[in-house]
Amino acid sequence: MRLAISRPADSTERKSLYMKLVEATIVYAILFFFALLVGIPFLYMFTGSFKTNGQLFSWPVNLLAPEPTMNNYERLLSGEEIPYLRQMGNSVVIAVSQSALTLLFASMVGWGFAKYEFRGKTFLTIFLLFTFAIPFQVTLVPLFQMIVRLGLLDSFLGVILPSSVSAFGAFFMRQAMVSIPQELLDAGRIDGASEWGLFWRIGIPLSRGALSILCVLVFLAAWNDYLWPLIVLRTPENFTYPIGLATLDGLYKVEYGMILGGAFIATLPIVLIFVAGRNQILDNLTIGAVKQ
Amino acid sequence: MFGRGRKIAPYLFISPFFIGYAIFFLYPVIQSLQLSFYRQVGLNKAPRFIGFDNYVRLVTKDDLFIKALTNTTYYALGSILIIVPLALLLALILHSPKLRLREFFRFLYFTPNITAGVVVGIIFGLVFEEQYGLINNLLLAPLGIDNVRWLREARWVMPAVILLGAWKWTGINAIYFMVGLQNIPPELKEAARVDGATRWQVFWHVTLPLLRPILAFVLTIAIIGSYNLFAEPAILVGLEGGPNNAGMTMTMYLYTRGFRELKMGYASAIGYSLAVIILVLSVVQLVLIRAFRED
Amino acid sequence: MKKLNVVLVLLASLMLFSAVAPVAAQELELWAFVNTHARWFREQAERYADEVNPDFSLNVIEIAYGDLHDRLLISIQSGGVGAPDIADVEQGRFGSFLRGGGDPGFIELNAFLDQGGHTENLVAARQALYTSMGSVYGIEHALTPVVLYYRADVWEGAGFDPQEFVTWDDFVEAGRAIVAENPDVIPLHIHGGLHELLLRQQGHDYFNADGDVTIDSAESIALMDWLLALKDEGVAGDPPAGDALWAAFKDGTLISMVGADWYGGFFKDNAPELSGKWKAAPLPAFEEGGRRTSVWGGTGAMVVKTSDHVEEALSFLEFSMLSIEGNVRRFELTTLWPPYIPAMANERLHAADEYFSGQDLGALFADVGPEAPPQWQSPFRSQLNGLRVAAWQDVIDGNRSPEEVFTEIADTIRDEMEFES
Repeated sequence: MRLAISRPADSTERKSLYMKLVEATIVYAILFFFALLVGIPFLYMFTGSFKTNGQLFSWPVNLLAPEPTMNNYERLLSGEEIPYLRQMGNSVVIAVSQSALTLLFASMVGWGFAKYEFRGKTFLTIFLLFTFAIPFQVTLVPLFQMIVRLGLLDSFLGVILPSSVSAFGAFFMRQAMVSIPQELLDAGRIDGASEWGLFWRIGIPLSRGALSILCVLVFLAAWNDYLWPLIVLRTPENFTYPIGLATLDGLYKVEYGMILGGAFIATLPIVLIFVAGRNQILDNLTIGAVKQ
Repeated sequence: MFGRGRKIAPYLFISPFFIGYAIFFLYPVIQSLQLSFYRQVGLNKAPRFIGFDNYVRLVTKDDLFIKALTNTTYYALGSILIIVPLALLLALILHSPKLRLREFFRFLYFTPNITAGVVVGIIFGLVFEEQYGLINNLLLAPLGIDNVRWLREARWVMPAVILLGAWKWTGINAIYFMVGLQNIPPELKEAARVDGATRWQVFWHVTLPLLRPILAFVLTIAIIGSYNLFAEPAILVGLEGGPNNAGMTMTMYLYTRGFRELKMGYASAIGYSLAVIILVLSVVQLVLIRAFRED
Repeated sequence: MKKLNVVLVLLASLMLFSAVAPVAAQELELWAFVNTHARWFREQAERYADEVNPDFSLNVIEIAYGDLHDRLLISIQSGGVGAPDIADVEQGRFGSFLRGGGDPGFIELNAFLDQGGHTENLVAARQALYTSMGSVYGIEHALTPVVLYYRADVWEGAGFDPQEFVTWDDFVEAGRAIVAENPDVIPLHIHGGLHELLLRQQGHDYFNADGDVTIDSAESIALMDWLLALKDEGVAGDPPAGDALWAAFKDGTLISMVGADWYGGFFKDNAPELSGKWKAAPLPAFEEGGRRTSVWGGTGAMVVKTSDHVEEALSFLEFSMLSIEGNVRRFELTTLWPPYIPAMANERLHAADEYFSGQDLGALFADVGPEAPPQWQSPFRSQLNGLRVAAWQDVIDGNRSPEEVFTEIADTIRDEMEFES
């Protein structure tokens, strides 16, 4: 690496306490400003879930809920209008299975591409890259017909299977695994490890960081997916939670309070998982990367 | 089950993926490619082969397609120009080792990704509401700016969608950049500092060039994501894109032509045009970034 | 390898769970996009099970408006698998099913309606919406007569009685006086359907009986110009979108609504606090002796062709939609005025409605109903509506003239018709 940097006239190596203070102020000001921008819609979601439509659409706009009503939650959790808790459960099952399957497929194919030479590899890579660009909507009708033929309509598998072959995931894992030192594999082979053993004991642990990123991305994509589950799932008992909430966005009346309440209930467990497991999840994003 | 055969092993590793890929992606994709050369309109009608007619019509006669293309490009440029610098800025700040509350900020910036697009659309409907919305009342009114008709005036629709996009995607991109920053050996930066480089010089001559792979990744994902934009504008302004179709993106156009008007052949042609555009842009982008490296 | 096993077991159990979890479908399935319709259907299904067939069970599924039609189209496109037995299809979206001139995927009802003697009992102009090439595919839920809903306290307080208005000139004159007193009030708000329904009041529409596009007719352009002139004067205005509309009703900015029968139920659901303040009157005519109503909206119940229970579905529809009891009950639940002629005289349709200041809304609908103009279906209607909605704000804001916009829309649709012919 060639560093073409001219020596500056005044060195900034030693900063005064004053400068440090100014700098910290700016840094935290920026961070808190963005935190506000990100946080206020969430705050509004939370307080809005305790409001009636009339209160949401009234002056002055109030970020808090001065006269909270529990009515939205009561209606949502009573299950009379939509079986919401069940729909959230469905979302969990679908998102977890889809993440597990995607991770398995993606890491295997990524490993194959990263660590082996084989006939057709270049072709498959370019091919995959090309199809990567094809929008999902293109496949909608033929794919739906296939799900019907396979008898997977209104089943979770019909939602999970098509989404778990992710070209993005394949590329992502290949990129992560390609930097695993070849010497480790050679050493493993000398020790008598099987090819699967190399993948499972060396490849997977060494790409933990990438796997956790992919896992988070796939889980969230599945958790939030709308279009495909909407088409495959048919009965309210099988809906995922976004589809359940969308039924409250009616032609004649939008149940804002219930939707916001439902969104809050659905977001809370994910937030808690992330907070509890942030060392495992978000840190892995970076630790894994450092190791490479 | 994989034995020691290094010959078959790669095929065994890649086959589960490719079998699934062939069934659930390739086959529908090919079927729909075939369809793009047919006129198939409506229910229970036999398709009729028309060669490139659908494609010709798209490019020469379909103003709405051109509009959808323009809108989507506007979103792509707008969101990339906002998201990438912001995400990089946040990543640089968050990367600093002495930062307090880093976990808190990193997590908070990430949270928009946890929320379903449907819900984000509905919340931002309230955020951009003309009379009772948060932006007009809490941000613009104190500055003495009159209510902006975000979702009713054509020129404000895309800015609104771009702001929503920035809200949703900046955090995750900041995390991508943080991964990239952590891959840069600290010694390089220290060496530069010892040589007397200013922070800006270190950033510009050391950090940024080394971030190129991650930048390429972020841009590729951003281009693909932008050209596939669907749920957020669809919920904010409706599937037709609101006033003057200003929020109509290419996938919304594809969806409405295909599933509202049942022009499956035409919709397939839209899909393939979209695929070509994304591919070209991704390649151009990769070439540009590479060219930039050889300066 | 232990970890692998754990993962595989976890995976397998999830798959198993996901395979088992779906609930077995009930016997008949019905899709509706309005909660009021769904409520009524459920009640009718219980009554049908009590009185006709104890084994009958109906699973009424509520799906959002756009989603219902999109999913139904995809299902029928895929050979009907996953489709319900019965579906509510909104008239504005039914055209999509006719696109391309193929089989729309619903049971043709001509023979069924003729044999039961129902054809002449249904208002022909409404049934036309669900008819294509002579085949009837749906049964209308509502006559959708349009009336003038108004805030009695405001208009009467200002010394006007909208019941006395004969022509739109009367309305406009009164509106001017009210605005002169209170400039914040909007006597007539130009909602997205107003131009369309007033055009029908005049006997025109966006498509004519032959299926030609007529949104660019001289009458259509003149009508829009008139509405815009009223807006410039301050008598008419641009209502806020979405739920802010209800806030505007509640705070007294909007003091009237030109709407169909179903809008009555809409008021009760969204603005219960305005109970006792509203009344309804026949629409003012465009010239003396002219038509005092129009039609707006409407939904047809249809039986999906691939259903395994066509007979049962038809029998249920006959019981619910083609009976006096069913029609009367629907009015009680939803204020939908029956399109079923034998039900129109029923006294239960004439109860005093507290929300509407004790008025007998049924009497008003019965009075104007026979004048209801026809409305023609077209496979291109949903596309035309899409184009119109997109250009709407530009027209309202005066950025583009109605003539320019309507001509452009009509040309686009004509070009589409040609491309697909």
